[in-house]
Amino acid sequence: MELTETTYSPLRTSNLAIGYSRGSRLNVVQQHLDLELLSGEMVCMIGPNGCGKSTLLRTLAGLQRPITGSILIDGKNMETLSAQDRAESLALTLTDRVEVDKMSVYEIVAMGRYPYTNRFGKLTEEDRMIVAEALAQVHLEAKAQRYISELSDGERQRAMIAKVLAQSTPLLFFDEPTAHLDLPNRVSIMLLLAQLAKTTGKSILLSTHELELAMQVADKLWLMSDRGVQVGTTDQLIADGSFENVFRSNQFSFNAETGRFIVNKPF
Amino acid sequence: MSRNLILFTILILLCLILTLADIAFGSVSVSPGNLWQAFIHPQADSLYTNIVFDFRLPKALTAILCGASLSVAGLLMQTLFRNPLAGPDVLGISSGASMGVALYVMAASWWSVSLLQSSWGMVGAAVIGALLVLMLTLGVATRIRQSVTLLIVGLMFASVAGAVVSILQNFSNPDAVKLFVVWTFGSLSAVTWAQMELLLPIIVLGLIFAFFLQKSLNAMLLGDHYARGLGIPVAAIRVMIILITGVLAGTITAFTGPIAFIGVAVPHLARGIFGTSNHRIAIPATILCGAALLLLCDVISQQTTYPLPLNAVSALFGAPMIIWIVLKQR
Repeated sequence: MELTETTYSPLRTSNLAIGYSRGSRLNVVQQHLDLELLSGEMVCMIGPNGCGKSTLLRTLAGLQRPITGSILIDGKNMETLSAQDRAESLALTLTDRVEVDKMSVYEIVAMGRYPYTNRFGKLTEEDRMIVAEALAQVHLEAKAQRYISELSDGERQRAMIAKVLAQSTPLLFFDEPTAHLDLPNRVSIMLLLAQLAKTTGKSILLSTHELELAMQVADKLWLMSDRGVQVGTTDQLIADGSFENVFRSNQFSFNAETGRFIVNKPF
Repeated sequence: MSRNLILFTILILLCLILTLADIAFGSVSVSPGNLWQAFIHPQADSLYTNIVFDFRLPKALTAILCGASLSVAGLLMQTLFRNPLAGPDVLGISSGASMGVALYVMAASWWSVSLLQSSWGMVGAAVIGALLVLMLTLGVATRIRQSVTLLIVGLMFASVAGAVVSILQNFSNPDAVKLFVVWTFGSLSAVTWAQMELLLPIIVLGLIFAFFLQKSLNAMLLGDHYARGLGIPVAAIRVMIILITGVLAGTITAFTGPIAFIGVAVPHLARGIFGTSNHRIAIPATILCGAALLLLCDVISQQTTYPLPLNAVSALFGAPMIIWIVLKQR
């Protein structure tokens, strides 16, 4: 049997438990997670607030330690990776708003090259080409020399995506990349990320509250709730009733036939 | 890049002119001709040679080192805490130095006045005080993850040190209090050549180390999480930033007394002039702007019959600048 390129998985977890420990108090948010990301696919994490989307993303990114279990990046245990190795394997944007005064878009995107540049962050010809390509991929070439503080929220998010692309990693994580954006920008960012997964072969994992948008553009969904993480395509998760179970509420209902949420008007 | 080159050239020339002005002006004016003579044909018995080499030159050099080190210390703190109003004293290091000096002056006035004659006494006391607070801050910094917490802890250390100084003043004789208060005015003229041999290499080394951190500092502008995502060892870098800031601010404060406002205001001035927060430019720009501004403050303070307290002049310049900065932030 021929191995196709999509069977390669740059990230895999085994029996992972995530959460917080403060002193002896342990707060397990999710456990027994056996997840994997394939190259070239975009996975959207959805689920109600508090189900652990951000915690999972930060744990997979190595920003916080798992409670138990392991995360394998390119077959190597995350715990054994140096900060440098990690920066060459995965890049991410967070919900932390970047408030930097007097830094150009180009300088911010070029920071994506930091894992590869010398002590003074000097860009080589190759680095410049990668930065230019990243800017082109998010259609921000024309704004490269503008201060990042002058950009609109949508453009700023695209600049942060370009920074992540410039880091040249097989794994890209985005924590709520469409937060604070208007509808056209939400759609355009999601489509951009879906397209990047296709064209670059990178694995993209993002968390979002945009259920209907995620259901339409994601290759796969991680549907998170207090009952665990269900993995599948939108059609699979609709068919097995997972959506209805997770988003059960007396204020709205999920219509499996149209794949849409309907608000139950009480008046 | 060429625009930056022009700006750097202008700033370097400005520093040179202000250095010459700082040497020329004072209670005895040195004319350009006499200044030329003093440099070209230094004579041991010449009045101008003595004034220039024994007093004015070390003072001008101190102004340059003080302006540069406090400003870079301020820049490091503003980057570490991502707070435009952070300065070299937010870690409580200047307050620690003050506490050391206050303890020394008051204690010496009780035990033996001869101790106060030594020019090293106050310096040593200030260094010990600054080091003590630096160690405490470092100890906290290695235990916490959030930089903001460190800011609060630093300010609390400063408050405690300030309280200790107040209590000491309350129980001291008026002469000792006056000696301490004069130290808090800030002075550039107390540094001897022997002390300069220690001061100069420490400050220059501190500035070089800061320059070597430029890449990490840029990444820190995005916040701790983003910096870690770029492979920057944030915890270690934070300790290094604190250490460099502590050495720069603590050392210079020990020799000159606390000089206010320069450290907060100059980084904004430098970033504003060059239009970038990129530390590759911002660090050398801050060094030059800091040196120029403190030289200017010193020249101005020499224009009255009795030299004005340097802190008064730097506050007159620095405070309006900070108001302007705050109003400019949307």
